[in-house]
Amino acid sequence: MTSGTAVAPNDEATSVTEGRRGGDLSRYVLRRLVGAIPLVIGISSIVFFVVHLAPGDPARLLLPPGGGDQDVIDQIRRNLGLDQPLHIQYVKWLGSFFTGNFGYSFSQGAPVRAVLANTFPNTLLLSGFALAVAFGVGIVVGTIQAVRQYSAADSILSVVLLFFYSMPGFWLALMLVLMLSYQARNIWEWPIWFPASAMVSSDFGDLSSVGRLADRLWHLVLPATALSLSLAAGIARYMRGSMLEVIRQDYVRTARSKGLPERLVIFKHALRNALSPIITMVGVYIPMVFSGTVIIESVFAWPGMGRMIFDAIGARDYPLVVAGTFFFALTVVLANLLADVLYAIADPRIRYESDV
Amino acid sequence: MSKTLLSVSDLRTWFHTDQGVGRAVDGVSFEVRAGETLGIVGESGCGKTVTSLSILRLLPEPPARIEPGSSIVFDGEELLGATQERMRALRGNEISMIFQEPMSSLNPVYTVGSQITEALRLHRKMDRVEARTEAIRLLGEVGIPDADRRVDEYPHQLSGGMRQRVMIAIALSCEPRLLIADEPTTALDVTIQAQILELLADLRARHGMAVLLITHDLGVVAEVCDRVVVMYAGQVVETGTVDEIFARPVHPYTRGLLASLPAVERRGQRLESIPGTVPNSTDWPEGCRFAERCSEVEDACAVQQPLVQLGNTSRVARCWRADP
Amino acid sequence: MSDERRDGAAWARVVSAVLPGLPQLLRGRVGSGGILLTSWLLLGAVFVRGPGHVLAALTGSWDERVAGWTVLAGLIAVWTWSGVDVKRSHEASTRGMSQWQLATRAFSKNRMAVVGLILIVLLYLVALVTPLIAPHHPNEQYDLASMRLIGLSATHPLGTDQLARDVLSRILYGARISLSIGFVAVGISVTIGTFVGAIAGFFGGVVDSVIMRFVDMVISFPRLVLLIAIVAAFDRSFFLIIIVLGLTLWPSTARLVRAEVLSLREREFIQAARALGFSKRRILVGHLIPNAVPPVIVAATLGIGNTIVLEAGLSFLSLGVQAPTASWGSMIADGRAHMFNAWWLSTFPGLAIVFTVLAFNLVGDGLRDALDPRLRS
Repeated sequence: MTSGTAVAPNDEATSVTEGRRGGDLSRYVLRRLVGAIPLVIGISSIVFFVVHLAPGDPARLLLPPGGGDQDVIDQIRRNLGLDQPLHIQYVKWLGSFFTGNFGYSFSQGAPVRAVLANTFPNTLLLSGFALAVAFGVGIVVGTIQAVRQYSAADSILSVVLLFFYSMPGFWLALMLVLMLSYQARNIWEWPIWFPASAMVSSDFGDLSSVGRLADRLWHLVLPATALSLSLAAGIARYMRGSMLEVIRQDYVRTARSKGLPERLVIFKHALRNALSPIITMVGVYIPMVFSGTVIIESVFAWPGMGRMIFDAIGARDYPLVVAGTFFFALTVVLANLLADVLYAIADPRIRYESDV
Repeated sequence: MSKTLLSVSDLRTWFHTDQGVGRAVDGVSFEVRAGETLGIVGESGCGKTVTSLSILRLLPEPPARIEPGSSIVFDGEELLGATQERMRALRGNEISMIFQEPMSSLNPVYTVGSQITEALRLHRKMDRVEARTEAIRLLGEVGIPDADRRVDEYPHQLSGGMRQRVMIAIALSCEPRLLIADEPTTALDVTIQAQILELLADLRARHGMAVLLITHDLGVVAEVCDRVVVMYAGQVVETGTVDEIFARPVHPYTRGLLASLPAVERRGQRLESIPGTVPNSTDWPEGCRFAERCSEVEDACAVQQPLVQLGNTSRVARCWRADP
Repeated sequence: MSDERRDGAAWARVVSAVLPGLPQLLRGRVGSGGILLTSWLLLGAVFVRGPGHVLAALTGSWDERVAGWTVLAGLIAVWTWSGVDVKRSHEASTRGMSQWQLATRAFSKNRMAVVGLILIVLLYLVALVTPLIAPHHPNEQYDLASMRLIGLSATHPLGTDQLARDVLSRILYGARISLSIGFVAVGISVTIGTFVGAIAGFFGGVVDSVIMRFVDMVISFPRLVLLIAIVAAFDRSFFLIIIVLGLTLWPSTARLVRAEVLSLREREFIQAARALGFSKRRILVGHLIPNAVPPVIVAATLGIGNTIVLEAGLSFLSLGVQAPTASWGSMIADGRAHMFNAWWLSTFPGLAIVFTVLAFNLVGDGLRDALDPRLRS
């Protein structure tokens, strides 16, 4: 101590417990992971029973309408294991699940694992990109609105955001295709238009690596916009509220009273606090994006898992539906965990709380 | 008499809302001399906090507006016309401020150290290492033990008293000439209140800065202030030195405040209290604003009484019954 | 002063007799004035255009009866309400107003929310009187050779579809599907969610953890996938869709109510009720649930918008109400095949969804601001 102040520093004891260090954080992650196992199994089981209890025979769907006699159908059912009682099927399914064997997709004629390996990365690319755009745009717009509260820009943006927020993604997708793909290219002859289907151009193989990246991004524009616009509007609305709450806080006034420029007050002191509640919303937004992919992937002929699940439900392809939803659920659980870890990093107070 | 450092005259800070105009501060004048401690005393809602925030222009505008005709002069410079840039150069540097709520005045997501070094790096252009060393020194100076460890802790790891010490360290970091302390001890336990007040008095003596202490507690005023401004309903009702005010209060409101203090010589008696509450700032009464709570009200109180100078002292009071 | 007011009232009563709502509008009460006046004009126009139609409808099919009676009862109700309303003094002071009156006042100051409310009232009225205003029958097919995919025209203001049906009429009829599904499904989910959430929050412990684990599970699941799985699995009917939407929506309400109950439980008035020895059931039903109502109302209003979008999504995937019943989602889906030569097919039903959902969201936002005492200041 450098000074000889007269005051003895015997305030009330520093009652706050010592912080959880790195090891504790990984233990926390592990505990959350273990806790998530029943959740994921529960979700998949619900889907298993819902799909299996449904009327309609997958064996018939494999045959041409009206074709095939009873013997053929029985043979197919035996091959697929559908002749056994439901609880046996369930136990078998559960058992094969733990060995990483998700069964055989009869509508695709390939192991489920192979189908998933082909489609899941595409869905992750699309939804990850859409989420990143939604969060980026939403946070920036919401912050601008909060800082300019009561201004004309704030009111106009609020109405515009609510408009986008109220818009069904599939309709937006069609409008985007109509305007920015078809009309822009064929009628208005704009220099810029965007592809309305597939993930890459047909000449993708001939492109340079930069060209490939550009081609991928170019194909992502419309589906990602359709998927993320209403989400971005929702995040912006939430962000505006969070930011307005934070800029009323005492510590923001403290920052101003130090003479900090407004830019630092907002982007250093206010923003990081306002982001915490937004991060926790990841757990709500990711299932929403996955829901969205079911429709958006169908519209844009995107070879992803959302579209595959939709087709599989129609074909009563049980193993594929159940494994697909399992992966959706697993991703949501992992993303929630990631959000909690990010939250703990963004807000030092959280790490010290003992439980979930 | 030392020279005037801060002079506030006819300050009117009004809030323009849908519910009407709240005249929170309505014609307040006082001055702070270099090196002295001036107390502003009053109940909650009397406008003392708004006055202090007006000086640094920290109120959100809108809804707040400092009305034309008001003047705040700091060291010869009119602050109400100053640019935002100039104000930022003064804040935290020449004039700094500590607030009522140590629990919420520090940013929860940054370490104590980084919140202290911010002002040092901004105003005193220190580099990272210098600023950190200085922050540790400051933490020691405000009486935080183990400063080189505490500097890397987050606010939630500190007790309320510790946090208020950190706030004081931030406020002191650039050697300000005026420190505005807005109810710095209200949110703290009584024993810690005394420590913080002692610390403030000690630091003032050592650094020679002036302190503007906002409080509702006359006991605090008696302990640390040189002079007192008593505010009621957005106006100054009485000023004087601490000795004068305590020995010979003129305004019935000041007398009421003093009578409501517990005192050893009145042991066993009931504490006095002032009936009623402060009226709403959108709706100040005509005439004397204290009239409806005053035990000595007379017909003349229906007309507003301007401040009366008492004798040839510097004391003033806003009451018909004050003898000139 | 009092003379002046009496004159004013007399003048207002005369105006109200001709154009109900106008006196309120002129006094700046956009909310009640706007609703009364637009309802009066809409229903009045329906009546004036064909009084015979309206009267005939009173004894027609079930559909037509509802429409006819809505017109007559609506006109009488609007006229009477406005007449009674202008007689009352409007000089109520802020003091002594109940929470609900304060909230109403705050809500009516919010212009956008009031516009949303007027829009919703009009939408429901239109849905009720559709048989009297739709230019054509929604499933009526005109000559396929000459009337297919005709663009906007006087006889078909929004064009015709691939089966030569009138798009405007189909949109008007489709409103009934969206509005009733939204309303009923949210009603179901809010009722379940409120009780489940209140029970979890109030009893805590094991009950709470079990319920909330289940809620977490449902919430972390992509809802559309679940909906598709259930709807695809069973015979889809209007009622199945309503019930499935209602049953998948309640967990978020439950979470909201639980949080509210948890914070209310610690508040003084609940502690006081406990100290007075009230039974648990009485505290829960009499004190906790009523106080959790404001956030639930807000969530429900916003939820109607979400549900309408969700139902449209199911219809778009041809998992909604079955053809040929017109629903906005299936109209968009049908239009997709002809999008490049008949843009109106998908565009207008989509706009109908956007503006309907927008209206509910505007009202939801307005309610949230009005019901939050912190924001009212």
